[in-house]
Amino acid sequence: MTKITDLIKTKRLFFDGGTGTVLQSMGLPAGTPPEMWNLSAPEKITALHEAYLNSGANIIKTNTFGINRDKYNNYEELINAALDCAEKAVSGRENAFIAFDIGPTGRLLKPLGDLDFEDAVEIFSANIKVAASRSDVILIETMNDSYETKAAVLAAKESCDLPIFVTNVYDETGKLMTGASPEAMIAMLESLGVSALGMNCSLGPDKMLGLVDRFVENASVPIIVNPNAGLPVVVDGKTVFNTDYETFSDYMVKMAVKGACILGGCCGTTPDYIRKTVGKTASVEYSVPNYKEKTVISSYTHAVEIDEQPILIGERINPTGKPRFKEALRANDMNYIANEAVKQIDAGVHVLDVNVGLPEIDEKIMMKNAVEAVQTVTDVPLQLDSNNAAVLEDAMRIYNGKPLVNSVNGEEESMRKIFPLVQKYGGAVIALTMDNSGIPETAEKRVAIAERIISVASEYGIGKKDIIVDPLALTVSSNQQSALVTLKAVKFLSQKGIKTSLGVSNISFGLPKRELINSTFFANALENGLNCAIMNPFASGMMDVYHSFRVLHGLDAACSDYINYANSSEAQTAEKTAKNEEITLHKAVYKGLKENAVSAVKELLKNSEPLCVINEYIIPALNEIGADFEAKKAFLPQLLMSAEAASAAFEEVKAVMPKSEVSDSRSVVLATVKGDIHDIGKNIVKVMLESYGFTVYDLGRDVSPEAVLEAVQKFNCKFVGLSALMTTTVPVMAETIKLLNEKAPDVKIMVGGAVLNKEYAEMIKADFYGADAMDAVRIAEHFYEI
Amino acid sequence: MIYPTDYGIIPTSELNLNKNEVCARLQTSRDTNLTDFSLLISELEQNILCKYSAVRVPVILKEEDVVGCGFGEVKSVNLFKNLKGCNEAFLFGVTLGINVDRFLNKLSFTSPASHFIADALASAYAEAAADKAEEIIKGNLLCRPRFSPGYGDLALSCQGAFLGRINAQKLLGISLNKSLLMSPAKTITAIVGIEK
Repeated sequence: MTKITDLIKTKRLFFDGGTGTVLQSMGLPAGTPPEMWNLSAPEKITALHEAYLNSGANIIKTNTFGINRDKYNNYEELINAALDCAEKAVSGRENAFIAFDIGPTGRLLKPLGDLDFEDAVEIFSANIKVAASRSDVILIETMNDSYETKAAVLAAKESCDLPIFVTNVYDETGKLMTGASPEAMIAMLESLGVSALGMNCSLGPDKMLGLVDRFVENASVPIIVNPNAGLPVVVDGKTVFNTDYETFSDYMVKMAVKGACILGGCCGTTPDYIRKTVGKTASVEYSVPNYKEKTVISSYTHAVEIDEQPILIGERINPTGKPRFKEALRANDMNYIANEAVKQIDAGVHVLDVNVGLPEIDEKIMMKNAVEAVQTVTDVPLQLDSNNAAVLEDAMRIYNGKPLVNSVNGEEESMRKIFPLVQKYGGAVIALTMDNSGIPETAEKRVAIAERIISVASEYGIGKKDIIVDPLALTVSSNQQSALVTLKAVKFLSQKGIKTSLGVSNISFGLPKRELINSTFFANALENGLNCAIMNPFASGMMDVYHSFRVLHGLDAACSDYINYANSSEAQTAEKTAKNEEITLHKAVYKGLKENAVSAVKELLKNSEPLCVINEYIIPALNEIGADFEAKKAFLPQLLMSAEAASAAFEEVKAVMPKSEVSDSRSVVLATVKGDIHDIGKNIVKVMLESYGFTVYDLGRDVSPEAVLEAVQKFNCKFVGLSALMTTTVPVMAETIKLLNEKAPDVKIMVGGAVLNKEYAEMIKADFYGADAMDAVRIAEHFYEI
Repeated sequence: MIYPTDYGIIPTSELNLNKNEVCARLQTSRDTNLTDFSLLISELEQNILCKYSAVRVPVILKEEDVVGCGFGEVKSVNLFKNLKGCNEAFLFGVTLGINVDRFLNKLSFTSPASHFIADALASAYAEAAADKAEEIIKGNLLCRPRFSPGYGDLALSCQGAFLGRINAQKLLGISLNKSLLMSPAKTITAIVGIEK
């Protein structure tokens, strides 16, 4: 039999249609999962497959959509029974294929849900291992989340060598329910190596028509379209769908004309729908999508194309030369990293570089934590940056989208380590033009290395479009020709259609007024065709160049981005000047004005001792708002805003304090206990404690007893705060307290949360009960006073 | 009888934020001026994509605490009392969408104060969304107050079957975690008995 991946190159193929709705019409009781009939009525499942094959379908989906080991202990038996039915149906038929059907788990992956990525991979792998030897293709369908889709594709790649087809559910906004656009899904899935992709289910064929254009424009692999027969309608207690087969098949003709390659149906469609579709599309000319030379990376919501528009890659998530960043890494302070990410996005970058390499930390764990944190607070694609291939592998695996990988170079060892990772997990790669002989001094030799890297990449099936060459900006102060060489290399590469990137600010090391050199070099590089700049978005000179360049090169329609940029820069300057003139530190803290508090504290620190600023300005303001809160003159929102302003001011004070005066002896480990994801209360306590100068190690939510103990021991902390909102998780709180009492008996524990009270806290052997955030602060202060 | 699955998007502009509801959730006085939070409200609104789906189902009241209404039989004295006298009911789910969860997650990292305020606002918006969805679904019918799984003695464990009945995963993107909490978090499901 011809392979399905070969056949699809020459002719249109057809999937079958709906399963559950047809089985209901055959007598499956409402509410009974279709997979139950694999064992109790296999002849009906076989008959359904045969009916579809007789109607002209080439590919039948096994009746395994709802089966996984999470739902059924006998999942292997159910899958094998489904495969028996499918094999019986295709037996003796030419070009009839079995697609092993994988549906969603029904649970949302972390961080939005509670299913761990690796658990999802294992759930899918378990199914595929049962079915792979008896199937022709793996069909991952009805996925409405990009992360779960990636988990299923990885499971398939790791469990078999079968071709993988993927169809996702797009809603009326043209996105998956969790936000991914078709372009983002195409980028991720093609990079992962799927053989065909497209859409299924949704709201009916009419809604899919517009999406097909976007697939044709961006996809290089065959496109699948399996719509519903419209929307469900309940007739006499039974669910039917509102688009008849004539209308449905007319739409399918339009899909075929547009370029859809594999057609079929989903909920509500029957063999008649497929028969009509096969018949009506017979005369429509067939072709597969042409290969797209687009360089695209993606996040879990959108794709970023690297082309004419310059791409800014924020460089600030990197500990090099940043003591505060290093401190955050040592304390596993993901809030700090997340804030660095958000600030750069607000400043206008399109991609964020993530580098967390520090000798004394476990970079693999830190990189995963940082990627998860950054992907929680931003939706831009990430550039995963490490010298360590093992670190990159872990990050690429859990990254939700198609990442930019930083980096490979011309050394054989580097390429043999990095390219297999890209082949497996997908991605575009930054290629540094250096090899065993070092960095060539001429542009021509750097281009030669780039071409060799591209050639080796092709051996792994990685196209030229996914190699972004960095011809290396070297410091101009030590070699006056270095900038010219780099610019020439950018130009040569650009002329060859190779995409480029530069770490722009390297050029100015050792020189005064670095931003002047950086921005001028950046402008020159852009003129020579530079595509991506790894840069500091808070450097106004660089942003000025970026916005001006886009205007001068016709890349900013009606100059609107430039005008907005210019106006917002002026407005910010005016606003800052006005505010700084009016507001004292005390007032800024009391009123909860964070930016003003920072400006005011900086001003005060010019003439006052740090400890004096804390004791005479910050603490009195906090005490005043605290007293107002307790007297019900102020409320929780005001209290929190004041605390945030005070914390921001504290950060500034700590930065100028002599190290001997900065002490983390007043530290608190905070956690929301295992099984509980409600962390607002814990976060409130955290900000209040920080505002009073406590060092807080925030372990987040859903934290195991063991993780709390580990943190207490690691940070040598004697005071722990635990929160729980749900009654079901209070036993875990008791368990955590028990473990701490056994293993770290000198640690005191404060508990709080909506379901707790003083008596219950005593019952579970907590040392203190914090009724609210102010109470928690008083308890912590009292603990450290005695 | 033909009952279509009622499904639709409710524009955010049609959600009426109840000030008292917001103040209660913020633990603040009723004099609080919501314009103080106008920036957060605006950001939150940009992240709301409010969708609902509903089905009309027959109600079967068996014993004093056994109710059948389209998603299997459930045991609940409170629901029995709520639906007594009704032959039919609507089952509906309404959600503000996953981007609200993302927005709140982001704030939990960047600003606990904004997180607290935005969470309270989002919960009040979810109530407003349920009110609006109920208004659309009911039309001119006289109905009982809505009753949600997990309320009173109606066990939350029925949520899975309930969501399946209104096709919530496919139409609204709602999933259930192991603790029976829904994602997106700002989602409300309810039963509304039809009197006449």
